[in-house]
Amino acid sequence: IEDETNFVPGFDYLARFQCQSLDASAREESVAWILKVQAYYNLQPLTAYLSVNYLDRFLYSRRLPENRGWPLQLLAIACLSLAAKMEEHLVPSLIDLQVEGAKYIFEPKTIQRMELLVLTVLDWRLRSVTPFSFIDFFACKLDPTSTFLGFLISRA
Amino acid sequence: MAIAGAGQLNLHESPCWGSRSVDCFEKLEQISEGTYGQVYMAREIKTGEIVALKKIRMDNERGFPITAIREIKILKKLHHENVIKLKESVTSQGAKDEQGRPGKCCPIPINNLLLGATKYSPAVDMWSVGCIFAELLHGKLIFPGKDEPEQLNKIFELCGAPDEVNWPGVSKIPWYNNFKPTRPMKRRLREALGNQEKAPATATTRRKGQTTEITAFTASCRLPPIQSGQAHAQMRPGPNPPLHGSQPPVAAGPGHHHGKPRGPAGGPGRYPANGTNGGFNHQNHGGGYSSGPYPPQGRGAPYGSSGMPGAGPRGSGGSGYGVGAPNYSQDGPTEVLVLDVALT
Repeated sequence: IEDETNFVPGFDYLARFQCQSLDASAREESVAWILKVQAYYNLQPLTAYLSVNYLDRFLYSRRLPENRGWPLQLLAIACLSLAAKMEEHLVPSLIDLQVEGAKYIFEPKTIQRMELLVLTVLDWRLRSVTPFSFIDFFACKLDPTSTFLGFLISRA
Repeated sequence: MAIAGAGQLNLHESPCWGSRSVDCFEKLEQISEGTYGQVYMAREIKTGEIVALKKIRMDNERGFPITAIREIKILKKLHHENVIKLKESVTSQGAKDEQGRPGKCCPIPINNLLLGATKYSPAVDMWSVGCIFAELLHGKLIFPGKDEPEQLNKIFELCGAPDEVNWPGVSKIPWYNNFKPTRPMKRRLREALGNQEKAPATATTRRKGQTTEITAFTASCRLPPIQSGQAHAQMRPGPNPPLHGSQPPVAAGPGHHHGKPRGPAGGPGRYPANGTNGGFNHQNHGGGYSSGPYPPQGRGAPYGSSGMPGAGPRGSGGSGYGVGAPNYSQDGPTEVLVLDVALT
């Protein structure tokens, strides 16, 4: 449990948005974009969740050059790419990830550098424990015969 | 392998990760070349410290390779005198990542591809696991070859030599004819490793049952085979009845030749048996996601079969991600050698 603090943003993350040192609407845009790409490629929900987790942890530890615009977009792509590599069997290429109204298109080389930066900032800790880890467990409790298990999990 | 002198090691000062350039090191010589990239002996210019430098090949399509991410994650966590310590990650122009490490232990080159094969697959990993088990049991390196011919020879001596009978397709592997043994060689793995007297303390001090089980693992090792897009084959020379029922999910493919029938090939696992291509080794069959070498994983539909918008800035060829296998593939000949000890 002590380790858990390494996998979430710090406790004052929210407060920073409230006092506007971080731009909440820009983050929201990034999250929305990640969700769109997740839907587009039918990626797992966990992939999107992890992406946002990486994004938040990065934003908590590092300040991007500017609050809006390409740095955040680049960060979102790098986070999504890392999460996809962690969770998906088939990972869209870096160019293919940049769909669904991505405002800027980055070269794979650029994204690669960003990935390394994200990895460094996150101290290479990518295997965050998420609510998804518990869904199966609770779904089994609710439905011991497993008749509706797939349905339950898909709705969760 | 570089062994740093006691005074040379500089374990306490570690510059910030990824902040330095590889120019801080002077490459002395190449130690080995693996699937992921090359390893060099190098000297840190400032301190004179001798390190091993591993250059990671970057995947231009998918960025930082997940295999490298895993390797670095794991090495960062491991702190043991017998495990190489990961000191630092440095970058070079072109965003390649290299890691400097003090040379402390010599990794066994058991997960390298042999005979000119170019494709990596899960079966190669299984071979590595088998070798490690065998080495634990044996107490020393199991195939201590200095170079590839010597290593292959050691493998053939212990596991038997492959030929077209026990391993259909083996003669098509690029360098098979250069390396094939001139005399028949029988498998003598059980004789070599089955003797518990020879087993190291770690194995012999265990309860008898456990030791036997490990021996069984090794004894049922199979010298394995080829994985290509078309034919998968496994040979099982010698009567080595598997003591444990289930087969590992390695290289399940339609063309396997096993000594006896097995369960539904592939099963619900991730290396399916459909189509002509198995698992990671499917070739450049333009279909990509849509030709479906991967079945639905029980969580979401496969790519491209439905619901995927046809438009979008996809790669050339109009076939989704089609070219090449997702993670492990490299360009090159399509035949693949997988020397594989499968644990049964």
